[in-house]
Amino acid sequence: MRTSRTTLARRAIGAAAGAILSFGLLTACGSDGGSDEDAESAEDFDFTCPEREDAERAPDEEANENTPFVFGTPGDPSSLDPVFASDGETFRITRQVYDTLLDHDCTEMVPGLAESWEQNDEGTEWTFHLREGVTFHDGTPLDGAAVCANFDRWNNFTGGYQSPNYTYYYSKFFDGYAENDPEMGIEAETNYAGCEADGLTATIRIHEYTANFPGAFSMATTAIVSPGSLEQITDDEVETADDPLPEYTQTADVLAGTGPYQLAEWDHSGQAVTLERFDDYWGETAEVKTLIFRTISDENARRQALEAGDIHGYDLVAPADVQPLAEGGFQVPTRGVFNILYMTYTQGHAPLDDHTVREALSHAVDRQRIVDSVLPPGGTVATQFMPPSLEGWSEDVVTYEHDPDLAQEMLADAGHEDLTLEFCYPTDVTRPYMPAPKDIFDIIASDLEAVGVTVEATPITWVEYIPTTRSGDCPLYLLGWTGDFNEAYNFLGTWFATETTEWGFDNQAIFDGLAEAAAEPDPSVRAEHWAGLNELIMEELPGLPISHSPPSIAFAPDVYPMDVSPLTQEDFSQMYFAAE
Amino acid sequence: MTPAKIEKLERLVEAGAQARTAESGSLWRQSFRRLRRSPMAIAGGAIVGVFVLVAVLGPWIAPYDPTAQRWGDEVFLNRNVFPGPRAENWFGLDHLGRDMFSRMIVGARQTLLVGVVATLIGFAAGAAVGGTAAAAGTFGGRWGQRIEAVIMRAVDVALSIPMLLLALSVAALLGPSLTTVMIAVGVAQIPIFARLLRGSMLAQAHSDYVLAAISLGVPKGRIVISHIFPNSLGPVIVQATLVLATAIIEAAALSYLGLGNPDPGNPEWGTMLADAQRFLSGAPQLAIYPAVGIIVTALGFTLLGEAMRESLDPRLRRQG
Amino acid sequence: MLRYTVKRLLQLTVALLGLTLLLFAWFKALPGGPENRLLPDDATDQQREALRRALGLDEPIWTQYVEFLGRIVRLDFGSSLSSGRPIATELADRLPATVELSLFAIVIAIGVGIPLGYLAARKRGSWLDFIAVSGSLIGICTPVFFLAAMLKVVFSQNMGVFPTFGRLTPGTGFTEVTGFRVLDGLITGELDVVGNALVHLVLPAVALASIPLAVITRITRASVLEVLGEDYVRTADAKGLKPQTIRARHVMKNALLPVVTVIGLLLGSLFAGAVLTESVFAFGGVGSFVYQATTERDYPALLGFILIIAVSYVVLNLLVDLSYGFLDPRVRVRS
Repeated sequence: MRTSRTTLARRAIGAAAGAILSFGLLTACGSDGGSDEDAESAEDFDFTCPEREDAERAPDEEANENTPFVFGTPGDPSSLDPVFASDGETFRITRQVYDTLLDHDCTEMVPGLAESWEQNDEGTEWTFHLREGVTFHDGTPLDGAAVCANFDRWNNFTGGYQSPNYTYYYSKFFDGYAENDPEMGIEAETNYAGCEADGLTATIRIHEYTANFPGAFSMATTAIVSPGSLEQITDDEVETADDPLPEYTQTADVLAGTGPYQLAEWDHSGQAVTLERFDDYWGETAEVKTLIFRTISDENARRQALEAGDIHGYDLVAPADVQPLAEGGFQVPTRGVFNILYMTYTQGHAPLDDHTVREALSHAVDRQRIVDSVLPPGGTVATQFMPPSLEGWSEDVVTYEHDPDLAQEMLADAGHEDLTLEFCYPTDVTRPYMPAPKDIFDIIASDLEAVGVTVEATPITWVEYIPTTRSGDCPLYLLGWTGDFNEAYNFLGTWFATETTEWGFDNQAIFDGLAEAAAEPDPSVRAEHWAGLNELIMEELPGLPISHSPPSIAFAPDVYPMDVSPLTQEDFSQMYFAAE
Repeated sequence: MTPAKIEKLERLVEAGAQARTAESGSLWRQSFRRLRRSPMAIAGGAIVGVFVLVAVLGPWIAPYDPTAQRWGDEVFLNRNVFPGPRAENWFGLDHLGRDMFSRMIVGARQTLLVGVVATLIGFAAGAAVGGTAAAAGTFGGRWGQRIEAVIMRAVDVALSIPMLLLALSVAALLGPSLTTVMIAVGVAQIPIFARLLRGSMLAQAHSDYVLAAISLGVPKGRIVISHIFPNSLGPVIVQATLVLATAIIEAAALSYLGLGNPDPGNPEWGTMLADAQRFLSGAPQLAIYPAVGIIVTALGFTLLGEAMRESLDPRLRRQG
Repeated sequence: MLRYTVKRLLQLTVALLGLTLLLFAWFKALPGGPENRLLPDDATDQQREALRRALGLDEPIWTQYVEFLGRIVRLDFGSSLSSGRPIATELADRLPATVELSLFAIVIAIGVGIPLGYLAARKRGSWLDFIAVSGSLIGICTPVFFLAAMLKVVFSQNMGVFPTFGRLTPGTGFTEVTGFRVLDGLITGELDVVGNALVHLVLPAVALASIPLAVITRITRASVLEVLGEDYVRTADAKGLKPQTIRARHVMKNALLPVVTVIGLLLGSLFAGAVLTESVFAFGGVGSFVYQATTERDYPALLGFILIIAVSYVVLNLLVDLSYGFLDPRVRVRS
């Protein structure tokens, strides 16, 4: 998930989509003969969807009807029309209100509004058979025409709406629009070839297959909105990329979806969005009648609010708070691991273009200490640029153990005993993959100093952090990624598809390999490509993968929580106040 | 300009002028004698003395390197494990396994530095502005008086804007760093010093010795620089002491707003306090040490400054 | 008086123009510029250029300044980068919360400060005096955000007496009339809302009141002490007036003048405190908004906010000046 103009990093939680449940991992780790250590690490790795240990509890009807459930969020949503959003705070809310064609159970792709779906061999024609008897909150029924109306609407966006500023994900999946506006800087032709509706069937065609499909159909941004409610919109389309979002995206009384909850109110100054249960929901009706998402941006304040009983749950729990909360009787389910934290060696800065130097620095860093003391329990040291739960993760990559003596030796060999390096880190943010950037920086910096490197600390605010690191100004910097997709392309393709200033390396074998893999419609063939590419990348060593770690979510003792999702796509209709 | 602020400043000016113009500076001596008897001054002086001593000697008396993560493997901030006070670490460890006692000791120096530099910035720029205004108004003729009026009006406008807002604007411009905090807090003090110094200099300008110097034909520039200016400094020093306390507190507030020194290498109390807010539930001691440090130090400077002002102020003196 | 007023108004205009110029320069000099904030992580150079053109960043500087002035006059500060909503709307939405909080804080500060200062002066040297003086000194020296956070840890997190955030328990039904929750509750007769809002106000208001309370206590004390030493009080005493009469007619009446002046002017410190306390209590007022804008580098929001506060302060001061000129002829002559 990217950080949009409307998204503060600390609010963004990765949302993801994907199709493949990975089994490769257990075999990978167990193949060495299953010593105790191996078994333990295998357990760490199979963290995608741990079994729930708590018993099911009976709902407290009285409380569910009369007590609003208040959930503390790190940030405000940006838009109630999900197509204009790209941040987790918006998606958390819109996912309760609008349904997508496809959905996830854990990381597995399952039916959503589409009961079943099929694709042609080239992966260019996707046919969705919709559920019967689904109604929108405004009372109109769902049919194929409603689905096509949404896709056609997006494709026909004009003016400012074409700016990635508004429709980041749509332009990422479909490249362009029916008529590209030259002002918006989009050059690629649209990959959307049309949509045909026939009763409860909708067929969506694209020109060329990319590994973004079918994941794109499960993204919160491609949720289906009632065409009738879309007609209620009276706002003009925005003209420039600078205009604020239209008024209708900021009020709760325009749009209607098919989800278990409907929009009731958005109190901007009170920083709260209220949802009401939709009683004609096609699936199982929610227990809790009123659901309120209240922004409390400070993580310690969210914990205090939960402990004081002011809220009933919150997200982005600081790792240090997990244990005290659990001891206090609160429930702190941990999500599966679906992210990566890394440190980049920007090769535009000598001597980071020297492979020996990169290798030496990699040996200098004690990643295990970061995992043990800063990251939430359940995290693991990363060996490559994607989490082990993904198809295409390789056990054969080169690894770089913590060995300060070796590091010092290698630096000496390379003629860089007294190296000085600038090291950037973000200041005003926590991310699901990076709970305390400054502390992680501190630990790495002291490790580097221990092998004789002089570290120049360069703290940068999050807003300026991304542009600065992207422009290649930081020789060393910390960054990470939470998957949008259960698909390796969503990780590797984000960074290594072409030569960039933020990495500063030119390795044609990697670039070509990625392009070839992304166009391959067969997932198992693709996975082989990814594995080979991971090995190639770790040989190149463009940066040091640090960790994969599981973010937590917290609930009051009297709540029966929903199943947590490694893709952070929790379904709030599953959760309720439980009777004792 | 807030009348209350103005009145306070003007009283200080008046007091300073009286002290200076009285015969052979005996009022100054009297003031100092009163100061030595005042319990406020003694308490304030003691605190400031200890603080300055620690700040100056910090690196030599700190038992360990305050930046070394020497006990890094004993702290688990993801599990709230922070070893508390013990024989080798009197104040326990911070969240990265650094000796808290050493950090507090060495942090005193940074904290003092922030206060002093911010005050100096405010003073220097304020002196330039206020001094120019006073000099122009006194010796610049009709145009000079107009210049003075414009400058002082601008100062009044600046004085009326909340200090934090001024600091915030400066900090937004410069990005977060310790230098930013110093400049931001310093800039916010400029109008105070400008007003004070102008008043003080005007009072001097009308004194007998300046009139005498003028009649003797001493160049005006020289009168301003070598007589009026140095003789106007008394009240400014008192104000500077008070501003130091404010600067230390404001610096902490700016750190809390994320505009302070984000570099964890050098310990500074304001940064430490702001950063420790996130451990308030699990490890409140990390916040309480720097908080107590800041409160006590600010108290010391305030006590000393107030005592100095009282001993200078003829009206307060009258109450005995 | 007319001449004085006209002169002051002229000065005000010049001051305000200067202010906008300064703010414009400030806005232009901000690091990064707005385009980086608006663009996605992986924007191309073409997108960058397109946005610059769309924002008018390629026009001559004086055109941009005139445009800037025009927008200020229309109260159009653009939209907040973090919420996407017009800044004028954001501020208008949040103002009642901050005003309500500030009023409660000042009520606490006056209600406690004046009696405390008076008693401290009457019993000079007593333990009460000592507590008042040292307490107010410590109050001035305690960082507001730390005090607020400690209050929350003790009274909300540990004792569970007061709520940790907000103006009302989320989900409380209420009828919006003025935006002031307590007042609205009284108007509509929703007494549960009044109680709920009051409970939410206690901790933030106490934290916010700390500095004004300290200042008011000290000023009252000093001012009462000064008046007690005045000749007319001694005369009254010598005349054999009852102590109560002296206190009410002479001491309090005269001692309160400087206190009243100060109270009107504590707004500045109240505002600064509001930014810090509101953020601790996620209060949802202007202070929270500024805190958010600061940490997110939402410059347009900061700009609009600074401008509004600065202008209202300048205007407020003009009014104070004018009323002084009106009440005290000496001021007019001096100016």
